[in-house]
Amino acid sequence: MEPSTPILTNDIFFYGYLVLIFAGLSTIIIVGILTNRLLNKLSYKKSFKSQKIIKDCLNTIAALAPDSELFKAEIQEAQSILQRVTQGSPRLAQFVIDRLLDLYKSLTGKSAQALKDVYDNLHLYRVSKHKLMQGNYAIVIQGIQELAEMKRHEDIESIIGFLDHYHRLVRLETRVALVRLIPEDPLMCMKFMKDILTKWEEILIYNKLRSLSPEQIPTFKAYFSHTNSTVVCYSINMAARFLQYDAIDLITRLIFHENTAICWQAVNALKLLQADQAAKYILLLLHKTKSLKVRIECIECLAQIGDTQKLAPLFRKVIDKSKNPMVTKTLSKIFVDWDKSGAKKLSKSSFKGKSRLMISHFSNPLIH
Amino acid sequence: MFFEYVISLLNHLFVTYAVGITGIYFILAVISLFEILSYRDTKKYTNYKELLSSPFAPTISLIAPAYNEGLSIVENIRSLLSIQYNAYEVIIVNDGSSDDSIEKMKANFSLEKVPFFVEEKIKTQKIKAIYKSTNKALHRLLVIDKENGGKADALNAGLNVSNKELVTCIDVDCIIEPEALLKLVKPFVSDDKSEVIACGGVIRVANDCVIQDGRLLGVRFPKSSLARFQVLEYLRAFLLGRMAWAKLNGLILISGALGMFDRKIAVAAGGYNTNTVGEDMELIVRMRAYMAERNKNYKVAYIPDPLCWTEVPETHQVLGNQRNRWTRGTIEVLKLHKGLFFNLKYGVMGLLSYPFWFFFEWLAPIIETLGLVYFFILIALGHVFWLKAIALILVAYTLSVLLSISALLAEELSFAKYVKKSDINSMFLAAILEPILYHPKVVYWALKGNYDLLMGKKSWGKMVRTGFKKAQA
Repeated sequence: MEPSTPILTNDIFFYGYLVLIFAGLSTIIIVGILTNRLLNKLSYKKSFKSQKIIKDCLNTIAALAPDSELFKAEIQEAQSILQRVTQGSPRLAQFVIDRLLDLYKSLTGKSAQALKDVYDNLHLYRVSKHKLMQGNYAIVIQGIQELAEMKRHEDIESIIGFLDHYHRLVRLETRVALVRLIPEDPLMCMKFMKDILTKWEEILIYNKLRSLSPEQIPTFKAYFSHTNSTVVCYSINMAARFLQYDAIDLITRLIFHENTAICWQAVNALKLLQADQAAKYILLLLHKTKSLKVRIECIECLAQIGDTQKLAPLFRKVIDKSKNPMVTKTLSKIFVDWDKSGAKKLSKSSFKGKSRLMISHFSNPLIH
Repeated sequence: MFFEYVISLLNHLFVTYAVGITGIYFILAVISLFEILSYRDTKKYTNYKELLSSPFAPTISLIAPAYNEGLSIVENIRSLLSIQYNAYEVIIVNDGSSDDSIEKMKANFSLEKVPFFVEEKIKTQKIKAIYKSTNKALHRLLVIDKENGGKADALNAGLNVSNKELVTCIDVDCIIEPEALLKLVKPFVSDDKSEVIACGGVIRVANDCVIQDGRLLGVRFPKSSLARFQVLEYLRAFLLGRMAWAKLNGLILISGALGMFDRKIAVAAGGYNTNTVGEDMELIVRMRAYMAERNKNYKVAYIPDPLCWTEVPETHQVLGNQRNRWTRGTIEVLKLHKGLFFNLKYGVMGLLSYPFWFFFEWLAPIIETLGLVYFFILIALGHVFWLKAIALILVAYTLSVLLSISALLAEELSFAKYVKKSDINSMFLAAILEPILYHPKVVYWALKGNYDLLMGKKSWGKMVRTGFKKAQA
């Protein structure tokens, strides 16, 4: 094409160079992919035997550990084989760590202790600690997780500094790791926490707390006055989940909190704790609150802890008058549940329209 | 003089467009590659199974519309019931099938009609009945039998019935990876800065893969050349395109085959639009607009894991129908939401995503064809500098191959599902041949889609499936 004012140069070599660059890049990528596959295959072949030996040794150690007195020699032999195989090979050392972590999670008692001894005796914690010094945050997290999973209490000092790391996920994993590593005060890392507690972190911490023995579970009410509202909500929830009845008084005070999230969480906790002494305050809140979510939670809570004889006529009035489907739904469900528990508050014929359909819905055992 | 001026102007327009589209695709590819590497790192330390035993894991409804799927419905439902997640239910919406789908479901899953109260938050065709299984082991299953109203209408019926926090809309004939829900739900629970309203995953081609009892047992590169080209196309679109858009928070399309949504926001935004064939894209655009209009900080997430495997068309006619529909869907969505065009209020969606779809998705085949016509006119007028023209064609060709090869690199960096050496070679070959053998057809089908929309065509077009390859005993 030959325009009067060419937008593109007429220099053919320029286009030739472009073609060469694009074709060259394509070729480099293709060669790269093929080489990568070849190297992976060779490395897999090379380490296949060693990996099998490692698996066998670890299985032997885990299986014989309960009778360690009888099989002391076999266990020591397996450990020395592991030492020999992994020596000088970071890749195999990492393979041992991964395998150890997998086994350790599903074992307890002497077997778990024997695996921890392997981690310690083979100095595999050094591999994990080395990761803490890397620039890539993902590698740092892996290091933290490995040390925490293998309960390296002696490395707490190395980990605790990451509570101030620039990367949010490193700070998160550090907090989760410390729940496992400091069982005498598992939530100490939350004391000055400024980050928003995400649902993911809540899940991770709860799972770790569940693995602690009852005497190690922290007193959650200590966190009710925290400046971070997400921490307050979580500690209220935890107090209820771990049935800390001595927190009921403080939780009852929190139902009037100006923050709706805290208020809802407190009502929910009183419901879970079946705190019947709080019924009159919940009733007060039900009249006072403007939040529909809180109001529904109050109704559900009252249904659990309140006097069904007194509440039934009140609820029955609301159910036919309420235009809000969520309120009708909640009340219908409550009536059916009361009936199932033997309270016999339900007479289908006295319900009309939508509420009647909802009552039939919740009464059906296949649905509810 | 005037003629020379016109030619110069047209040259400038076409070249600017070509450089623009190439530049943008390469920027997206680079962002995607970095994102994939970052995601790969994240996966190394993330234990998705923590969600399995947690009472805090969000509840999910899996909604699968089914229309005349009698041949495979039972196997597909079994597969959906065995997904790894605790708090989920499966809602199958029988959209007025004329075959024996409902009878088969009743017989195989011991279904019994229940007095289910449905609040019609979104208007749908009439629900005839709702069934639950009398078998306690199948407590997760709920079947809606309704009058035919199309896929969007069926999904809306599912949205009305669901009362879970999240909904996952899927095509019932797709193969879903067992960990799909665990992975899709993660962005919803881990973002601390913005509210995640939807999350999409990668859709992969299942033709010739080995499937047994609704489970993917072996990944194979398809034998049909048409399916092979689509493998490349899917890799480019899902790994190189959408990853980058998600990073920029400008993703406006989550495939209808698999997507997870915040139920309350999907319902508040009005659910699926039944008047467009691009209902999947339309919902995301509307949900985003809903959030932007309320000044809410939100995000549409995307993960590169291959979570869903689908059978792609292997005949020109069926593929043509599908591409025709996709084009019509895109135009309909762009037309419905024209107010977003360079509208600051809608942030990245208004300033980047919408204009990108307008200029480089809708107009691309039209401009490409016009460019070709213009080229032939110049030949006829003797205005072609042949050496330069050939050089430019070669540049465009090698660039196109490089983009496809980059998609293969993204696949290699992330999941490397095609392990056989012959598969890799075939993929390279497909990348080399695609611009010559496949791309012109795609352009033609897109043009036909434009024409059909002008003529008022509304139908979906027939999709014939050959069925998955069974595992060898």
